[in-house]
Amino acid sequence: MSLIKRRSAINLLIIIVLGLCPLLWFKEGYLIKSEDLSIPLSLNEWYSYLFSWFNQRATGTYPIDNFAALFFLFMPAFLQKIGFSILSAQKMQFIFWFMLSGFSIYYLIVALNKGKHPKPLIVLPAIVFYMFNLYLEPVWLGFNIANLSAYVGMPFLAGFVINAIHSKRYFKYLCLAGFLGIILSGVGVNPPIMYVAVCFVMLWLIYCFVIHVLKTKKVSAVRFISFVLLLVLIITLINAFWIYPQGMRLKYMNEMQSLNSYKEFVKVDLNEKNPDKYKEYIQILKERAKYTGLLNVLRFQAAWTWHEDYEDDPYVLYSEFYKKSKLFILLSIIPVILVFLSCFNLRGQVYLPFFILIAFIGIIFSVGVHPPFASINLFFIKHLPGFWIIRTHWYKWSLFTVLGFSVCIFYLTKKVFSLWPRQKLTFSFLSVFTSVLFLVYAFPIVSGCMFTSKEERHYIPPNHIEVPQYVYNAANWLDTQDDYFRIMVLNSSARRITDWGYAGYEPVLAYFSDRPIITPVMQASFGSAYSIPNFGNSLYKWLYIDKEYKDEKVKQLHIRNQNSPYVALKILPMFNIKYLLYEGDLRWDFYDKYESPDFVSAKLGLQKGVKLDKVFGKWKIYSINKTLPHSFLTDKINIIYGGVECYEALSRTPIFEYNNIFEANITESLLKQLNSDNLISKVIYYNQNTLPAKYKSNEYLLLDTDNKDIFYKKEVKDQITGEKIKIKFLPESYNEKSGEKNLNFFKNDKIPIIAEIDLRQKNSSRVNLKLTSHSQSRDCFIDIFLNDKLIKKFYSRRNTDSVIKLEALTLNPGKNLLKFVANDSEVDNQLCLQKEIDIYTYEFNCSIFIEKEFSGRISLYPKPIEYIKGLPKSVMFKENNNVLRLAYNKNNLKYSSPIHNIAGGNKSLSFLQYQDEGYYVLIAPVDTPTSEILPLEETQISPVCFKLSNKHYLAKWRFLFFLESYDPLWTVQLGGARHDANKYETHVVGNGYANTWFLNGEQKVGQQLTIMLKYSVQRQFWAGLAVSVTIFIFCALGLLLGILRYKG
Amino acid sequence: MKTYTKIAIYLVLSLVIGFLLLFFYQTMVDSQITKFKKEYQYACAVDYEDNFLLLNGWKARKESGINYTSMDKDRAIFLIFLPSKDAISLAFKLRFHDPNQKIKVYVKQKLIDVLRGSKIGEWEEQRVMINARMMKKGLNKIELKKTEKTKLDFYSIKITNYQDIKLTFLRAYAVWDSTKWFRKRGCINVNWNICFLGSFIFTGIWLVYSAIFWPLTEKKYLYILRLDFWTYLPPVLIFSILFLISKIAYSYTFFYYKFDFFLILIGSMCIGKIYQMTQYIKKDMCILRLKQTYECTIKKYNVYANIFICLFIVMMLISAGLLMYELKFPAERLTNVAFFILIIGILIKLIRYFVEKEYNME
Repeated sequence: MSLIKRRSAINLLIIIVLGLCPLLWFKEGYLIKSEDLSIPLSLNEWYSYLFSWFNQRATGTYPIDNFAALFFLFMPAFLQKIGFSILSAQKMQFIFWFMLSGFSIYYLIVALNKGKHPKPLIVLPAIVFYMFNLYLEPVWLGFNIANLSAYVGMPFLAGFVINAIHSKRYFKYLCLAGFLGIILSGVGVNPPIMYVAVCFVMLWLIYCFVIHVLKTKKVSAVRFISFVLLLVLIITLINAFWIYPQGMRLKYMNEMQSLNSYKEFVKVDLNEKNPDKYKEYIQILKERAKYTGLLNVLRFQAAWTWHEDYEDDPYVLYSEFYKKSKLFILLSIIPVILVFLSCFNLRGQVYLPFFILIAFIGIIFSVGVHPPFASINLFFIKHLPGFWIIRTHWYKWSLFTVLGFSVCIFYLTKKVFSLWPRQKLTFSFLSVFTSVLFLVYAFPIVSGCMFTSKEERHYIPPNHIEVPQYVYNAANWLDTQDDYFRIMVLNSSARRITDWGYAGYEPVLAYFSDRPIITPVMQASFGSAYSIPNFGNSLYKWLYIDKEYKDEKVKQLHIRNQNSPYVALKILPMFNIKYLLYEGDLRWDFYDKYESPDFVSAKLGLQKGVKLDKVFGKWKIYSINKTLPHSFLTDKINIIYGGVECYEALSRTPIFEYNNIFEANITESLLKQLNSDNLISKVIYYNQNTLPAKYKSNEYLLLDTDNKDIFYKKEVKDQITGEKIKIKFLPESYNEKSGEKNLNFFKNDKIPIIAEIDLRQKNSSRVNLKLTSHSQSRDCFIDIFLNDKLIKKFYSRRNTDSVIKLEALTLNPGKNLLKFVANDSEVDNQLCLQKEIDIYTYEFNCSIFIEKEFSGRISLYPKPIEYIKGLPKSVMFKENNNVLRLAYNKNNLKYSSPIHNIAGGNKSLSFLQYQDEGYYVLIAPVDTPTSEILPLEETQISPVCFKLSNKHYLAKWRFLFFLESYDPLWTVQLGGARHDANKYETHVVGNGYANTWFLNGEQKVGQQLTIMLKYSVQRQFWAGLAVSVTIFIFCALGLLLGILRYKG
Repeated sequence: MKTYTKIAIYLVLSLVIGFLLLFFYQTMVDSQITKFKKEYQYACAVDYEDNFLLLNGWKARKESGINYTSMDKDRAIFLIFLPSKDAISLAFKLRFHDPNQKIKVYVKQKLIDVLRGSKIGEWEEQRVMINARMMKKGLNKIELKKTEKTKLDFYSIKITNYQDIKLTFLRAYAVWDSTKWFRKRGCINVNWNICFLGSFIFTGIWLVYSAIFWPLTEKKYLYILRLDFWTYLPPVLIFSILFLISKIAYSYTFFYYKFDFFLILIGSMCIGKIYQMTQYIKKDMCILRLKQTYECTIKKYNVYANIFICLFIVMMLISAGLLMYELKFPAERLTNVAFFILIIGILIKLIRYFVEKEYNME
């Protein structure tokens, strides 16, 4: 074997040995999992990535980054298919990418060395540094597809350009670029990484142009530019399978219509004319750059997880060790020193200056909006196109730093070996020693201790997991159920953390079942692709918990609200939700303490139509005894004026149906047409102050007392509660003067004045009390205690009477003590209370206008706070001067008036509040028509193509509802009926989120209807894939031809 | 007089000049003042305003599209927020309806001022000045009492802790608090140690500058030294006059911006220096010195680049040492400085690389 071949074999062997390092990361029988690191997909799941409609989450969505991840995720899926276990597949995937990074830097080094394979010990430190550095720690922890693709692809690309120029075999490297393009496809998953990679390519090409075309004139400008353009074209065309459909899709997204609207959407505000928003944006950037000081960046210790903890559990267990160990502090600056030692002599080095510059750029940009380079970065954010897209600078720009550092280390080693050839042994030893030092410094990468085990953690979930058997069992059971349905996972935390170590945004079930799952979402700055359009987390809010308030008092109130008992039975079927999954192994108290098992169980217990169906280990599956077809036809639709939040109210009423279109989602002209064609069943006005009469169909008015634009509360005397409560001050609080009994003045000895409140009923009650204090010449504080618990600190002003209002006091049945203590040291005879205590309540008032008289009834649907019983049996409802008695119906949970003539004109409505509850008010005509639904037989040809048919189609079925997220790119093609081409189907948002078409034509041929539903973006994917495959084949053939020619 | 005596006198005078310059800087440049100037509408305060709150005695009103408030009761209180303890001016825009009406302004139950209306039925501006001793950082309560029962309307209040007076060439501001002769604003003592230190530094600057200037002339060093000394007199005289004005005429802080102080200092100094240069610099001496400087610096740029890189390495090692002793902030600052030095060194290397076409070399 020649020397060169032996050298290259040794080098490659070294890389292979080092590349097997990921085997040390795994524990026997455990998968590696972190919040951002997914469990490897099965081939079925990977197959679903080939489609431009991802129906596995929420109510379906366009999968923003699935296409670009196809190549990256294929390997473990394929390995599982051919018989490897999921664990082995994960290991092999890790080894593949880890080893490939070593090969890529070696390839670049050989290219920089003019095609000559350097001696193993010369190249060893550079390879070791590139494969083992602390920048890789967050990359591997998140198994960042884009980052790893760029990490591997950039050195290869740089090497291709050099080799092409030196060897002049441009065609060969253009063909190789086709293969490289596939490796680089993962970059498309993350636009900021894409930006960094593009910047690298541009800078590299400019540098090569300057050196080889302008300075050394090694290549002609035409040839170079042609090569570059073809290179870029081939890499782009190879990636057409994700670029083309993505580009077409972005054309239709409102947020992407203009750059400004996109920036607004992701809350990037560079407009200094808007100082508050600009400051807020800069503040966000500064927070993200909190730990990216220059010293941390140079030592690759700028990841925020190195400096923070949660519940006293540091995110990175060894970060303190790095900060405290003297040896490691010294080791941390060795790479920096070595890199810049290489700068001493640039003579004859064609490429070294470029990599020094790259290292500098990487360092400066990695620091982000942090001294000393904050102003430079801000300048670039404002003026360099696209720079603003990067918001976590260190995680992106360190790609430059690591690449620059590695190449500089190679050059230094090479220079040192060449300067003192006689000291070969010494420098060989030094080379090995330096490599060992790099390995020691990056020991978390070597040993895999960046992945923590359960024993090492006391709060944050570990990274080694073993999936319990019940997960598989539950997934299998769900997969074997008939019909189309979705599963809603309970627990409203977007991050799922289990007691067996799983942590991630995907629910565990998602990895093991093919059923679509509805999950809670995080409302991050870019929203969530897995959010049901317009609904967000509303289903969770309505079903059992609403904790999206910063004010703890308001949050508690909303959590304790008694939700509509019909959410599961009426609203959830609208999303095809048939099962609710309660994961008892979730750490419900990880972030807050609200969703305990008892709490969830109690809340579900209030829902009608929900029963516990199956138990698998710690998992409980509840079923809902009503389902809706995935697609169906209706004869008419309901129009709703208002927002989707009206569903909670509507679910309590008998007018709730599944053929709703919101007025905001339909054009005026279509609305007029539907009205004139009598295709509207009902019109519902939610929280409007007018009930017009402009439609042929029945019109309903639904109001929410929480809406402050419609309702206001007036304070009135609470006679009803007053009858149940007896209040008196204790005898010792009084003094008698001139035959008159008055309350004592407060004294300095802090003796309280006590009032006894006797609640004469069996249940607790909430009550509002009002009394007056009088302070003479000083301002004073009064502490007020109810049953020894401090409830209020009241500020009584001097020389005046102050009214003390105690709202929503929760009284226990029997005697309660209300204590008043003056919290002031010099209050003697200055402060007193008046003995009268008033009980008051609030009266809801609103003014509406009814255009036309009709016969109907008024209903009230109470929204009580839980545990409070004792709402009255009837409510006196005032309508102008008329008083209506609304009787309570226990079955329907509402108060209703008798049917009567509701006159037109201005109306003043009022009624009392009893227990801090709210109400929905429904003013409805007597007749309540119901719409019919015709289910369709659905055949899923693929996730982007459905065939719907029905043999009993009649012309009256005018509306098609398809319960997937609305997307204008869903198209229908009708067969079996003749349709007027001028009035084609009209596509609107139905039920607030889904797809609805108005089938506007005449059915002529028989009674059979066939509808083909297709998602048109899929065409673009296939077209892009065809282009990519064609280019790939050409590249492969070109290479093959080249090899044959070379051999021949 | 003997030469040594002259030198001694000049040395002492230079110490005095240095002392005076630092003294003037401390007493005349006032960057301690956190300028605060805010105008609040009374109408907005009724709804919500973080830094201006109406407590008792106010009622919101509206008239001809204008929102304002009235003092509903005899006694009304409002709160204002100050970012620092300071004397302030309150400029009310108010409207009297009764020529006998007076408003007594109280702070901490002490009567500060009495306002009387000059235009009845019309909006007018009235000002109250409150001493720094009556104010505190944060929320301050101001109480108003009216003497008659008639209406009294308030539209806005402008709160400021300085009086904006822009002189033609000095961006000076008057403040409400008077300054003492030998103290800084806010009755803070002058740091005499800095003045003494400054005198030595100034003397050093004088000696060094003369030493730099002298080789360009054909005069003796002592002569140049004495000549140079007189160039520092104009700024001292100018500052002395301004100092007297600021103490006698108004309570001014003469220089809010340090830039203005240094502009006057260097500008007035330059007059003498320009004269020096025109009279004493010899062209051939200049050329000779420039050539020598070029040979020692720019031509040896590679040496400097190497020095900078080595300096960076040494400073990084020192940073590591500081980190070992848990001195994180000094280590970070040292690293920042080291990196800038490195940037200079690398830039020199890169310029050399392209200028000398090192890419073509073996």
